[in-house]
Amino acid sequence: MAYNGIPIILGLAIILIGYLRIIYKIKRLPITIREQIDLNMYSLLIYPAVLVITFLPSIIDHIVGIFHPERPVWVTALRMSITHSIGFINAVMYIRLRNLNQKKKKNSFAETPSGFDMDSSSVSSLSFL
Amino acid sequence: MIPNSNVEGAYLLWILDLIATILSFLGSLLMLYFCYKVPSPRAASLKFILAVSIADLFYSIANILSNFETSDGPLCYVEGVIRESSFILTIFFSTCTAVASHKVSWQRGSFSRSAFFILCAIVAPILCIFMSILA
Repeated sequence: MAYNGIPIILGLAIILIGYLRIIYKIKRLPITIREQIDLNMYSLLIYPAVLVITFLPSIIDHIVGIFHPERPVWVTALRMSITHSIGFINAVMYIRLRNLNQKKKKNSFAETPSGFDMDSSSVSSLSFL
Repeated sequence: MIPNSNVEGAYLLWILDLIATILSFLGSLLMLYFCYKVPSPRAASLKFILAVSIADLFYSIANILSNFETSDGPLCYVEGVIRESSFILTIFFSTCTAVASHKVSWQRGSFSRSAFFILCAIVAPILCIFMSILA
């Protein structure tokens, strides 16, 4: 726990705080801009959610292992099936978000008025995501 | 982890581990392929995704190796080093992606994504060595 658990918990905390602050920033944007780019700010929470889903069984397994060394098989099975498939979960999320972004890009190019300069708004910074 | 008949459900765990690991390995390869397909120059966000997928790939390799190790042989040490390093790198680069996204949205203009990626790439091996020594 002392070695394996702390980096995960610390990483998850930083990621969660970071994304919550990004959502706060997006909420402060004018509603017209948010509507024009059709941005669902809560979809950003998918990133930390994936990490929580992936590493939570590992954290639970560590904690249960400290108090009950003879832990039930299903706890270990859960950790092995979810934490060890991190590459697969990341790939699924990446491909899903990639397809979603491509669809959004097509829609925004079709609907954005010619006078609207994407680069002049802080929304363009979200393309980083 | 070769199935041990003395442990309850050992065979089930071994099968689960093998399936999850193979899926993870294929998923990481797929992500690498998608990143490779994007024409240069690649964005900093893509470089972060690339770093995470490489870490995931090595984590899967360590898990595959653990399915065939029997005792404290050289394979065990190799697997241990790869596992700890890739595990730390996955969390590190995921956290860096979140930090970079946060900085981009809050300090727009005064923040260079490429410079931040280079800094992360320098810090990553130092962190790996430090954590491996701690382990």
